[in-house]
Amino acid sequence: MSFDKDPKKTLEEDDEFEDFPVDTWPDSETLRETSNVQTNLWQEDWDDVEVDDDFTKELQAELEKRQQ
Amino acid sequence: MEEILACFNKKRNSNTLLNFLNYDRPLSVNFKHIGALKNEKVLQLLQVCVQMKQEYATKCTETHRTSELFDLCNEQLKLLNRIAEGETRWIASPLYTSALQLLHVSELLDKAEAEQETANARKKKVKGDLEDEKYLEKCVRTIHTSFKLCLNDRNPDFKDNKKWGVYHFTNLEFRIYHRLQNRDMVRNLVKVLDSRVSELPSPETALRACKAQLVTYYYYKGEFYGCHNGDFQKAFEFLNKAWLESCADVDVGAQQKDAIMVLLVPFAILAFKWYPDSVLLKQLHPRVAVLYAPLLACLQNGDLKALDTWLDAHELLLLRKNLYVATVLMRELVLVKLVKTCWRVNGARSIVPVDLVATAVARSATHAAVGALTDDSLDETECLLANLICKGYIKGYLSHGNRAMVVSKTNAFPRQAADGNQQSTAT
Repeated sequence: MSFDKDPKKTLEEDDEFEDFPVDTWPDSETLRETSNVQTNLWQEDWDDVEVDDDFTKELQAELEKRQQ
Repeated sequence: MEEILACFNKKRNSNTLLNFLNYDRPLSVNFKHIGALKNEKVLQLLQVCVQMKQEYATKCTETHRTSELFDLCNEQLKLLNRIAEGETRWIASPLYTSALQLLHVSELLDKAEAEQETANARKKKVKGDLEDEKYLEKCVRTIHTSFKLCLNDRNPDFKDNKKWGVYHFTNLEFRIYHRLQNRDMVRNLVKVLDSRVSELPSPETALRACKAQLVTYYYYKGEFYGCHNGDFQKAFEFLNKAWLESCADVDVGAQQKDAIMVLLVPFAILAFKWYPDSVLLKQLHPRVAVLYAPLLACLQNGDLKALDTWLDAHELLLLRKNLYVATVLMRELVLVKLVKTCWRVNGARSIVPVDLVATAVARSATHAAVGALTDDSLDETECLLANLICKGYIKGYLSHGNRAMVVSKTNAFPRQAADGNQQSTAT
């Protein structure tokens, strides 16, 4: 997206929120109307997610050692 | 010329008038009748506009503005404010054009002045307070008058009331206070609008034909609630609306959409424990996805050291976006995940030994093997747990005598998704 087109400006550099470069657009061209992302973007299940990365494995090993 | 005067006589806006107000548009009207003009205020306005165009054409360049131009722009808006007192809704548009122009000149002058000051830093420091005032601070006073006369218009004919223009000036003020880092003024502005909500048109109706302004309005409201008021649910609500109303075209406003998402992610986490789908986020906002990927990993695995590393690496960005407090609050969520791992390793029994949690915290914070635990570190861990219980992250109690935490047999770690109530009060 914009990152490729305008690599000079990073997130760090744009502190101030500017108005959109165009004044308006029809309802049919908003993100709300054109994509179904709003329902899919936010996930709720992370409490139940059990990760299995290196950190977690080492942590479990340390805890099991403590239990003995 | 006649067309401009007709605007005032017939109370309607026109592009000719707006172009005439802009100093960088060439003078395209004939002034031969100007002497015969009876309306003193309009006459003054016309004269100031001509002077502005001359000043710009002769003294300014692409990036350089003079303080004389600022004075003329300021005078123009003041005159328009006086004219606007007796006018109807149509005047809001010329007012906004003039105010926006004044703001641009102020920003350029302040920027030039700041560069000047860094260039000869320490040379001249002592100055009177008044002289030190920024152009932005001067311009916001005039813009605030425009805001007030829209807000307080008593025209009984609602569709012709200047209240319809109030959000345009609200946005300008949000932007200025944000630049001046003046949170108190932002708070006042939000308070004033909230107290008048019943007499104002809703932002959605007033800005229906100005989506860019609607998004800006939502953005600043969300920024205020999340970054300065600790109300993450409200912040999420406004920023989510800002995002959804954004133009879907990937080539339009990528910068703006990214800026919205940068705030939206932490507030979604803090308000509802919702986190963004990593594939979708990467696709829609690659820069934001890169920024938050390590944070999201910590929230899932409970890695405190990685969290601290991430906070250190992005400290400046987070401070500048006013997100530091919010992200530090996420440490609690990482801790909960860690405690939950202890509980699971312990066989999901209702008694969780404090030394087990202390071990996990030490391991997670250092990534090194944990030696003998001191009484102090156990006390510290109990304190951490007491906080988490108090905030409703864990259902249970501490048994200090047994150095253990006893958790509820059912739902010991309540899911907070879709119910972020504790969060907003806890902060």
